[in-house]
Amino acid sequence: MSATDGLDPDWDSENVRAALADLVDAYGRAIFLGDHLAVAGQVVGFGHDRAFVEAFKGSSPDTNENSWPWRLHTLVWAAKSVLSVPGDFVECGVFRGFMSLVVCKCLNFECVGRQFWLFDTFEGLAKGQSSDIEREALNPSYERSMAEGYTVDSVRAKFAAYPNVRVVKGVVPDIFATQCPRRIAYLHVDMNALTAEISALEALFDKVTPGGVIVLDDYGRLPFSEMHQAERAWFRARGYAVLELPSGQGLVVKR
Amino acid sequence: MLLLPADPQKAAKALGAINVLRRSFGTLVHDGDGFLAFSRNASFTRDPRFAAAVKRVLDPNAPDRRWALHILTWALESTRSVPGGVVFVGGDPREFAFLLAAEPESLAARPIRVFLDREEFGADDTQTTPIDWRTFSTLDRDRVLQEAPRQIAMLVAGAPKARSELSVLEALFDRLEPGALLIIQDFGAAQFTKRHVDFVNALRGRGVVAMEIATTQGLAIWR
Repeated sequence: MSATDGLDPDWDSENVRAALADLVDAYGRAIFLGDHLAVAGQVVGFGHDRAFVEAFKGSSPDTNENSWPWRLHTLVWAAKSVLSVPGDFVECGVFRGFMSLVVCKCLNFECVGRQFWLFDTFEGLAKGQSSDIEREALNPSYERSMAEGYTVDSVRAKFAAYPNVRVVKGVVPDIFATQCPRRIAYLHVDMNALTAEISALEALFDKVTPGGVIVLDDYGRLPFSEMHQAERAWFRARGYAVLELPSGQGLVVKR
Repeated sequence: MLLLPADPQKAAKALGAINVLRRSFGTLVHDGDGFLAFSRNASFTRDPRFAAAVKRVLDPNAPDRRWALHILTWALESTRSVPGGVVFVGGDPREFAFLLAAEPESLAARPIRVFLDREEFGADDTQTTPIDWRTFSTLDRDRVLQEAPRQIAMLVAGAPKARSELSVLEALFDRLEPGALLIIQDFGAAQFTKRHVDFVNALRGRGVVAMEIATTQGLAIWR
């Protein structure tokens, strides 16, 4: 199963758009709609956290990315939770750098005595690490992005204020042969491809320090159910259970 | 399902919209735990032991809290190698019955201590075979400190209406082992907003942050 299987809800249908508008009308500001979630009657504390809101709002012009605040809340929480755990921060699957930029802003990462390694091809999924279907689903986003002028250099420019962020262009896991942290406290895996994500886990899991946190971005999303099963089994074989979060992410705390 | 607005007209409008979403997405929507989630794997619901515990213990007519139970079962399993026991300050006896059915191995070989409001629960209860599980009908701070294990691997805050809840928990924080998990039930529930803020401040003072989960639970890793 892949992102092209049509398992994502059809948000653009007239019925659905009208229903969502009715929810907003009925609840006013008391409803959270985003991350493929509808939540009412909750504090949604991160929505009142000025630093988080400012970091989130200013980090992407993309309406899709701007609908992911709960996922970003998870990442910022994970990053803050490992500040006393030895090791660097790693993201595999960076795209335009939105998610890690929010994390950097919320943590004032330039003051954190760690490196943040951002690995991506910046050109889409590589053939050896993904299926045809996965590439067909994801690579057009990269192609559009490149046509709009996004390159590895423009992503590096986004992180110019953070001298301890390393934007690394290369194919995961091959790139780890030349550039790889020794120890990891925070690992965010978001490559939308089964082989690539399992390869990243194979290469990096043993480097994650006890107490470190691993977040799998698409673990709970139904279009990625094959990847979900593979990652669930991969962790189970190592004695770990993955927490499936309502945000669609998977969470593991290294022992 | 989603908590409906208090105003009847708005509630009707919200319910109509929710029904449209349910019809449009069918099985692709998780409608429970106080939220709607679209296009999720929710594979824990198909886990044989989890599903069997749901069938055996939960009332099919009660509100669906399976996602919240997934978080509790995950936390129990994830803290098996952390030294210490499991402590519940407040909670729902049906949830305890579920956990006993779904995660017996994660409950075994470490002390489980449950402290409940006297009004919620009648008398102390001790069950030491096969699981060292003891329930106390008190939230008195001194008694809790006396009966709780010296080392705690998992702590669940589940007494949002009890005045003494946070002071009891703060006393137990010193017993949490590095890597222990703290689950705060109703952390995100809007009717307990002051409690949410009190928890955030109490944890911040100890350098700990809690994640708000759409189930209304809060999750923190102790350091």
